Amino acid sequence: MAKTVLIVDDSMSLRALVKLSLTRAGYAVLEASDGKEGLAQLDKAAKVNLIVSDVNMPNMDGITFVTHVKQHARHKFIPVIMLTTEDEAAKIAQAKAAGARAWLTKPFNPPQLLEAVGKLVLA
Amino acid sequence: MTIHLRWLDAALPTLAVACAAVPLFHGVGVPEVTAVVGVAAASIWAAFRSARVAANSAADCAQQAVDAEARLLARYRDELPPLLRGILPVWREHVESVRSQTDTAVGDLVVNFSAITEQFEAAGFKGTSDSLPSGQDTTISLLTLCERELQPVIASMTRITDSKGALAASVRELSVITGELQTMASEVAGIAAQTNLLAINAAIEAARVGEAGRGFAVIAKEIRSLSHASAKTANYITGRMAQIMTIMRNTSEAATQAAASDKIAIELSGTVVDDVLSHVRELSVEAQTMLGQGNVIRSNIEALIVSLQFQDRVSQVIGVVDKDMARLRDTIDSDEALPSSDQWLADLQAHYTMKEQRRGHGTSAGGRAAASSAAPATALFF
Repeated sequence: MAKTVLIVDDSMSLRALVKLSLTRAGYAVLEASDGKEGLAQLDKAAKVNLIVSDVNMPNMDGITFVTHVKQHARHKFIPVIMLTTEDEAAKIAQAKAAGARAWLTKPFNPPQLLEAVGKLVLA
Repeated sequence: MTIHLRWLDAALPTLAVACAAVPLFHGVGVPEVTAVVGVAAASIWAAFRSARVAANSAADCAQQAVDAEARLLARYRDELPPLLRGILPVWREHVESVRSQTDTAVGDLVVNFSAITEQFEAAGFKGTSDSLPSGQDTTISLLTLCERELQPVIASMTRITDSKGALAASVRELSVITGELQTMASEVAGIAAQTNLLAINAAIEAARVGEAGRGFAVIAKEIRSLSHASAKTANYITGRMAQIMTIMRNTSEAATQAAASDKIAIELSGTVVDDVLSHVRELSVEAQTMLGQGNVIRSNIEALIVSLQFQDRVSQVIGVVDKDMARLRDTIDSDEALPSSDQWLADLQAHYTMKEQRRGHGTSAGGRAAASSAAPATALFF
């Protein structure tokens, strides 16, 4: 059965590109446009094996989203990769403290994204 | 007019008091009139005072409006230009960065799409047959050609198999006849043995001559029977031998013909197989080429995916500039003092999320050039 990845990003085109890269590699993909929608998707989904999240989003930013995920009894073990244009050390430290497992800067290269996903995705 | 009003403002009260005081020093008549005039003057003064207050109030409002306008003019003349002189170049740099990134990304997209098209053509996906040069085969045509060329070979092999079957039947028939001959040979041998016995008996009988003739007559009869049987067997054997010769001759001819046909068929098969192998090798080379082109196409697609992400970056840059324009509009509309350009730009910089924006925050062309292409992705694992 295909592993499921949740993509959380306010850019529709970016979500489409990440989805294209992941589905070509055999992953099933769910989408959300901000952290609030991401939490709703997690509650609805049967199982999510990995989350790829942007940092700067309306309604709920990525770091707040990760914090909520890691506080949730059912979702806290899902690994999170931050995929963002940000590269400031302070933000990276915040994400790490919130519980993210990796930080990948945009523009992403498909093989690099797939390598990171492959390393962290839950069995 | 203001001076006149002030004079009246000072004179009217004095006139009113003077008129009111006249009756104290004069008789009735003129003093009464004077008193009435005084009262009237006082009334007029009171009314005028009210009017003056109203006029002053209106004047104050007008003055406030004038002052506000003057302040606004002062803002636009004195405060806004320096602020705009600081902000506009930065906005311009961001907009130019967007233009440059879009231009570069679209150029990359065109190059990558062109490369993918070329790779597809090089891999053999050339589209409709109308576009093919005459005599050039597609992969599918090669396979059809191989199938057509192999069919005669299969037919030849079938014919060879059939002829070998006929030969085998002839050989089986020969084998049967040979068995019969062996049986006949045994019979002839038996006949010969009996003939010997008879001869021996005849010799014995001859030894007993005395009773001449009886024994020899019997012996002669038996020998005659044996002679007939031998002749009959000999004829039969001769006939069968003739059959065998015919069959052997036919078989030999058939075998010779089959050998000649086989030789031709085998040579033809060899040629066809070589041809087919050549096509298969061609197909194999094309398949390898397609595999290689496929890898190149995959790389081009991955490059496309990277290029297409420019939309996300320029969207963020434009979003920040758009919000800053709205902030300026709101600030101008409010009565707050306009901040300095340094303060404004410091607030703007706090909203940046990308290196390109921070580089473009400077107004140098070097910042713009650096902003035109995104930095390669980095990955950190915690």
